[in-house]
Amino acid sequence: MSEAAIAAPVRRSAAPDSLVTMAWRNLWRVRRRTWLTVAGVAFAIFFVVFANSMQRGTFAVMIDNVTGILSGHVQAQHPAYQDDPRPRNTVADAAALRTAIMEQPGVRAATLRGMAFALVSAGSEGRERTFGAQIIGMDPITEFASIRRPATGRFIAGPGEAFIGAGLARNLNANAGDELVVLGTAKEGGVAAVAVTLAGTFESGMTELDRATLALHFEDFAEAFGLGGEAHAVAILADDSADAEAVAERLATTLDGGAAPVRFASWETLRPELVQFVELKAWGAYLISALLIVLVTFGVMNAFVMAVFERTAEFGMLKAIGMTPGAIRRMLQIEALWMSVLGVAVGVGISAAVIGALSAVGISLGEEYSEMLERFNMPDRLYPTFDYATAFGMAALMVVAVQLAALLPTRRLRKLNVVEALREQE
Amino acid sequence: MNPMLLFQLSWRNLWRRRRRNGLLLAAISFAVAGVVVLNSFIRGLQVQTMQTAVNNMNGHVKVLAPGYLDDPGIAKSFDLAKEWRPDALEGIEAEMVAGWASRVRVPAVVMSERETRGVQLVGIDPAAEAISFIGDMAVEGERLSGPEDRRLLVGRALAGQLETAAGRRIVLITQGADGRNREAGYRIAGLYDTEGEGLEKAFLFTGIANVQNLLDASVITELSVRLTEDRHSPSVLSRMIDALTGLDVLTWQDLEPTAAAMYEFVDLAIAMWFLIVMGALAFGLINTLVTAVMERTRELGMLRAVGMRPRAVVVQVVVESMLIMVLGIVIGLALGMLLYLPMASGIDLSAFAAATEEFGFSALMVPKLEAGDIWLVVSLAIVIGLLASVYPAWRSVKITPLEAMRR
Repeated sequence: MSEAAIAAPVRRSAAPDSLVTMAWRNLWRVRRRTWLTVAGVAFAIFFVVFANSMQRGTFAVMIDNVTGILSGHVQAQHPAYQDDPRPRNTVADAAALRTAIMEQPGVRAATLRGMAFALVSAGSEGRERTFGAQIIGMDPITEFASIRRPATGRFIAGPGEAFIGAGLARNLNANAGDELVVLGTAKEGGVAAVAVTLAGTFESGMTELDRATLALHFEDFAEAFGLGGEAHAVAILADDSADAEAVAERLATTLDGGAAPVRFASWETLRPELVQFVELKAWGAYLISALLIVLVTFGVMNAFVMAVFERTAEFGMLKAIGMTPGAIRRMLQIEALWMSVLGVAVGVGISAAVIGALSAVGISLGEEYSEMLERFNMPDRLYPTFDYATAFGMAALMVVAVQLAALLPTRRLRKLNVVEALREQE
Repeated sequence: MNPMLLFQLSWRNLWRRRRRNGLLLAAISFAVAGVVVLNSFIRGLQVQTMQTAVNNMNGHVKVLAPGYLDDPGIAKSFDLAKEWRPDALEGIEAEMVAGWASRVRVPAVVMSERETRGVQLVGIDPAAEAISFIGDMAVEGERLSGPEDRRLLVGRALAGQLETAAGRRIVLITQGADGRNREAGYRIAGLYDTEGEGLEKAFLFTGIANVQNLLDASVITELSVRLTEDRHSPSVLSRMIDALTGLDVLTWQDLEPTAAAMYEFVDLAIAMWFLIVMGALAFGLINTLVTAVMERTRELGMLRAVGMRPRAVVVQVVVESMLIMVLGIVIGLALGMLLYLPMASGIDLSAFAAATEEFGFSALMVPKLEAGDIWLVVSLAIVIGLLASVYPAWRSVKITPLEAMRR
């Protein structure tokens, strides 16, 4: 039963490398058990890494889409604008600021925006329809918002034109070519009024946005609302949405000291509900991962209890020929290490292969969830990205958990009596 | 062989390896308890998604004029006799219906001395609104006294934007049935608070007769029916579709497809993750059972030699697996209940308030334990227990007396 393990002469203090070899060979004496234990570890690693990678893929797409619709990754605003979005909270010298921002590394695009609430009317005198809407001044040359893509007609090309949400167009009963009147309050409190021709409509998939948004040329906006050279925001697209916070901080340090107060806010600051949504889902994933780790740990512990029990005679023999109980326990811990390393390698290997294959072709999510996907601004194909953080984190946790699991059964070796142990041989 | 004897044999076998089987039992109990508790969280969120959608002035079933959703306004309205009641329809029992409410909901522009905003003006009968969030929202100042009340209830967030307060007057502009704009000033009775700011900014409430007077129309734009239980929806829906020809009769799923998709998705998610946890458990179970069989090679060979049928050996292994599984399930369920009960009144998620609001959950998560889910855990665990004993049982019949004696 145990010939292989005790074939090599063992000195009182077994050299660490011989313990490592012995532990490795011991694993293959009861192959079935080793493979089942390894498979349990691999199974847990695979599902946790796979689920997290899918989730990461989803979040990355969601954040890119949600920020791409309008807000961008970073916004330069008046420090008070976020909490108090009033027309008077503007950024001065906006065009110069935009130029300075564009020169910074990590910035892909930047565009000026004017924002105000106003009434929009359409229709002939006496039968006109009026709705409240968010008015956004946009520069068609630098604008990057994804709502720029028209559902009907086209995006604004120059002053005197408007581009509105499809829902708002329906409510106003307005079509391309119709005249719209925008009536609001200017920056200094006077009346802001502008007449524009409807150029086209957009559908963002977000009903609220489609029902209450009107974009017009930034020049028209600045004139009607009395902005002068100011803007309500410079919307910035970073090279990568994940770097938004770093880009915002860099912009704040390099561009600080200008005459007017400016705050650079990343999407994390502008849209706290997105960050929290990601965190909330992450907590769910942590709970499930924790449950799986504990389950697998129980499994490993059990496998070790069985192994140690079966091998009592062998341990007695090892002790009889001079191996210290400490060395025997070290050998068993190394066996556990080998086992967890194998399981982790198999689990991470399979998940990397599966995710690698899936990220190339994408996963179709089916007709059924298209509604929800639309709401969360996700495309109907998902491209998972391998989640290294989870993979290494889980791997490390698993190795530690298995070491702890092996501690309990090896404790009984301390009380090992050589004579009694050898008698177990029969 | 006598089944009772086989049972006894399996039972005693379990006790021969207490430490090992104790660990296995702990693992199963832990898995079952974990699944029960986490499942109650997920179910709680699911139920809440539905409740929020139903409370959001939808009810379980809602009646609208055709075309209202695309072009909400008084032009898309309908008339219903004052004494109309859903439970008067054939096939709808009174105990199925929790309540119903008629409303006039039209887009409007609201102006204070300082600001202008676009809102939805909703005329209600306050007494009927126990079926929606309007019934249990907190109001600072006074509530509406009845359908004739000419004052307004304004959301706290909107009042902040308008820089106005209870007792002050604001002006409303909206389109009448003839297409002409109406304008009138109203006093604010009170400010209301809801879980998120979304509703507070969207809706202005007043008496239903007040809106009808303003618009010169005695019609309504919507009727919501709330049921006592969601399962009555299909039958009530079909009766109402038959009775109200020419009108759109819709469910909350039609009106809030996102919430409905989320609601459906949860069932799939629960089943998938049950399977994963039980799968992880199966490895440990197979491992233990196979070892138990291999250890007893001699013993099983002996039993075969003295005449035990192969079938009896298999049954012994399967019964052993089932015994430990059932024991684990019982302990696990008890443990799960013990963990669940202190949380049953709800878990505070207000740290994630912005997200819970955006995605339609309440900041207080109330876990929900359903009998159906417990049965799912139990039956899935038993199936896994059976599947896990297939390989060990197959190993056990391969042991021949001759081979066993040679060891």
